[in-house]
Amino acid sequence: MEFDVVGKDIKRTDALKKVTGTLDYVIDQKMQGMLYGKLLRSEHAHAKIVNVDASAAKEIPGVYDVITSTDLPQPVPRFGPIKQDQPLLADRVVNYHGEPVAVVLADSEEAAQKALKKIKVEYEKLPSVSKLDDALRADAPIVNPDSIGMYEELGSNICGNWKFGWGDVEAKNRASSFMLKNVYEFPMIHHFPIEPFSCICYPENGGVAIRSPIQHPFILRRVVAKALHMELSQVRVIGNAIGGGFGGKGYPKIEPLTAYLALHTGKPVKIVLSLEEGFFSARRSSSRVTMNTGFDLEGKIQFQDVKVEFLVGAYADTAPRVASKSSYLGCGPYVTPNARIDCRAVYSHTVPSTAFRGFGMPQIVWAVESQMNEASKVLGIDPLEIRLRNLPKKGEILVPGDRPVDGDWEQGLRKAAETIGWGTEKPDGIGRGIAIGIKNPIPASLSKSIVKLHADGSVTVSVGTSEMGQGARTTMGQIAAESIGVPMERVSLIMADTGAVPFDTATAGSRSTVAMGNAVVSACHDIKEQLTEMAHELFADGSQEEVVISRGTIEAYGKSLSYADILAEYFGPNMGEVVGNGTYKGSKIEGHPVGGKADFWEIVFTAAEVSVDTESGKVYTNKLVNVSDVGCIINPLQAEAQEEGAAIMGMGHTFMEQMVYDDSGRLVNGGALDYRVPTIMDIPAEFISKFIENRDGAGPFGAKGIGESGIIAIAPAVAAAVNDTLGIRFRQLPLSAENVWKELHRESK
Amino acid sequence: MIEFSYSEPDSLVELLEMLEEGGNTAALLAGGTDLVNHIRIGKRTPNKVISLKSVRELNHELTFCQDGITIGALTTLSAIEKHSVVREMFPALAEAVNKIGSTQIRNKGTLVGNLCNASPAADAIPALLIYNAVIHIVSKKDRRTVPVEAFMKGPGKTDLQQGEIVESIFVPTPPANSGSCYLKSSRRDGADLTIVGAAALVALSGEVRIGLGAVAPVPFRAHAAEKMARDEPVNLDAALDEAVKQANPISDLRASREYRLAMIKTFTRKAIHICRERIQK
Repeated sequence: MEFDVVGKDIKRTDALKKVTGTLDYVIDQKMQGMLYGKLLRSEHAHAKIVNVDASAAKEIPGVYDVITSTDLPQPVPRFGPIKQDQPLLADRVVNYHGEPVAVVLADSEEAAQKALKKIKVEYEKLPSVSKLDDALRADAPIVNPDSIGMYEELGSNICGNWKFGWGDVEAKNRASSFMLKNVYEFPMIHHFPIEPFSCICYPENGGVAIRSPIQHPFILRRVVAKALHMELSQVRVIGNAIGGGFGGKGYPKIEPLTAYLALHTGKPVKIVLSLEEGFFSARRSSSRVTMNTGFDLEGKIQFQDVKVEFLVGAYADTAPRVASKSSYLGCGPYVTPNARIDCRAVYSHTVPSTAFRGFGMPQIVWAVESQMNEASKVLGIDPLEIRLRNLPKKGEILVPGDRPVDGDWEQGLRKAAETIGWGTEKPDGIGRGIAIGIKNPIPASLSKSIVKLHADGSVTVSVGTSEMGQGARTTMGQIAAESIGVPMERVSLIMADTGAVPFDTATAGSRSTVAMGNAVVSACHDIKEQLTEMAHELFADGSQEEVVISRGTIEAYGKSLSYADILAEYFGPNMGEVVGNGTYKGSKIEGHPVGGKADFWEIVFTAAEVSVDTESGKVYTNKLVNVSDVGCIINPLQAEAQEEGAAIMGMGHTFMEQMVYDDSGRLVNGGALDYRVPTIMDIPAEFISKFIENRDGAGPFGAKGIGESGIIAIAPAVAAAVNDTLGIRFRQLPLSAENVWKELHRESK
Repeated sequence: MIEFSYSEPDSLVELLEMLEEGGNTAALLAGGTDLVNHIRIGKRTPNKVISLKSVRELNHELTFCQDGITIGALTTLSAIEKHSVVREMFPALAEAVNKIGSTQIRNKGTLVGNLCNASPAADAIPALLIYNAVIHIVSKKDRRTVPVEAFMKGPGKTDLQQGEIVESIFVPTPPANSGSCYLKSSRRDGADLTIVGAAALVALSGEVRIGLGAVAPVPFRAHAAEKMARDEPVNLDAALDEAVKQANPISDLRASREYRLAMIKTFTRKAIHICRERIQK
């Protein structure tokens, strides 16, 4: 099948605005009579709020009001996507360093900032926990003890416990030829979006409108409506273009408070957080994964006994779902006849953890793939070979009850190996490593789309998907243009405005191209069916001829009409419109451990070549290869950009990123100077993204999703390469020069 | 809103007048890459910001003579790192300047500003140290010169007295048949703060100079190490132990004291090797 628009390097429609600094971000927007909100944040990890004195702050010229939780409706409104546990402002106690305690409203940012310094808060410090083992101690202070929901265990910091499994691990535990048990840790990291969190809320039509760079406008609408006891129809979320989300802007953060303030004051209210405050708003869960794996003598996996512990923050946010969904794939991409997975999420007095590119899978895959590399060493089987022996074939079952394998994974693995030069001679000091990353998108999700064919033959596509830099505005346009048969320039998009577009679950989980893409295709088909009916109605004279619609032309009954022609013919000149409805509904299964089957498997094969300066410990990534099975590429430029962006992000947690809490539970490196992320100077010398396109995906034109794949297996591939050259195994990240040097130093002692 | 007055004098006389008037509540602005941030975070709260940009006596250009180069108070870091003569004759300076901040910062920031900011981790200072740079200072009453080694007094502290400004830096031509180099240890290759900065100069005559940054309250010349490295070139390791003895680094989020001490040897040794290679050429 040849395409006109799909598969072409169409430039992003927002590229020029981005590079010229003219894209309309929320942070730059203003409204008449708008109030500026600034948050006063807790100095302590855990403390009772004894008193807040805002009298001096209220005296500052330009200050409209200072609000604390005692000024809010009682009980204090709480919000959250899974649990309604997070108060709009700290409710009598603060549960993490940086939790908002009060908000200043003023007619300028400067006045609000000035007033912030005048607020006096009296705290009574309480013991806190910021590390996994401390939070699990029997006598640990309990985080948020009043808030017991569906998953928690009473009297502990267990936020949830999930168990998955099949076969008989105990029996195999006795029968396996060889067993390997190791513990792998992954640090707490921050999304570090360049665009800070920002939002503007204003009263509208008896309800509230929220303008925010939000990935999931419909989740935000639901959460705000629930927190403020409103109808869904009273909350309109206008998802603005996002300057970096990565999951951090998926779930509500400052919006519920801002919406409340807009309703309370009757004025537009804007809150913008600083980059530093971003660290107090979202992070990835850190993890400790204990892998106990049994192999036979050929290196085939006999069982996996996996214990996963995620350290989550002081409120649930979406962390329980991250924990359960990722640990569900705790055996990775391999045929595992017997499995037992036990996952716990553990609360702590730290920033709430949330979705982050890969949704828990980088933590899981770090463990699964490091374990495979260790096994290959102990069993004396080449790392590529041991993977080939355990990789399922297309159509085989990966997780019982879930979607069978939907791609040729061996092809992808071999392509990555070949690209890195696996098996060819290595110069001295060079190490190579390989790893596989896997993820499932959001099961049981829903996407709807409305496509309008206008009287002049141009097209408007309405989707709930947000433009978060992934290029959905361009790819959705391409999918619509291809499906309906008009040039890309004739397609416009309306995105992420809940007042204007139909429902969508989320812009997350690499799902939009498949889920929303299918919804757009189905809406386009609906239009074509209506056009076919119109043609019959106009021209059929007793006989029923075939109507052929191709590239914007309708051929039937000896006539050839453009879309504009047939609309004019049918509705009259300058009138009419054909509206197509499209729906994609994922598999939804009652009692399924994660709600339904995967729409597709997102799989990536990563290979790295490194050298190490043994004197300083610095690791040089000479070559990094990602091969993703995408089924069909909608836009090659975008696909490559997604893979590269994700890989660079992966290099961040592999080499340098880690949020550090001190013994008193204060975050000590929450800022750009002390928390380093990779720059363009830190990318691999040779950086390659390749794709497998077998047109076997569940999405439009056989596509599967990407966006997260590139980040998932970077750390284990790089660590394997470092191990290959130094012989040292790393079971903790990051592999900073100092950490590598310390290990080298230990070895030499 | 942070409020201060801003003036842009066009002559040195006018500038020094203003500076005297402003006293310790006045701040000088050249590139602004440190000052603006310091004001923003409240580290400095000047009542008066005096821009040097229009002072006609202060140089944007690099000037050359037989004995060395003169870097003006307004010479940007970019202008220095890109200059072919600097790259050829003062490679350690070009390399050190290239490691300061990002391209945008180097396009605005000045070397004199970097020096006067007096960060213990300033990249350019170890390089200025090994070239025996001299600081030219001017005030309303007087002119004086100070070797760069004596200019640095502590973190954020310099030898500048009230009413004085740095007019220029003179960097003497390095000895004949010598090689020099600057190396930096940091967490990432993009703009970053220095863990250890090591500048070295080796001459065919046997002379060795070592300048170290980020491992003590002020960047310093490792004189004892230099002497040993000159007298016993085969026993470089022992010489480098002397440099380590002179250092007193802190442990912070960037690196531990232990790692910094080890990297003094690693980076200085590498720098000296590179210097030796450069003499050959």
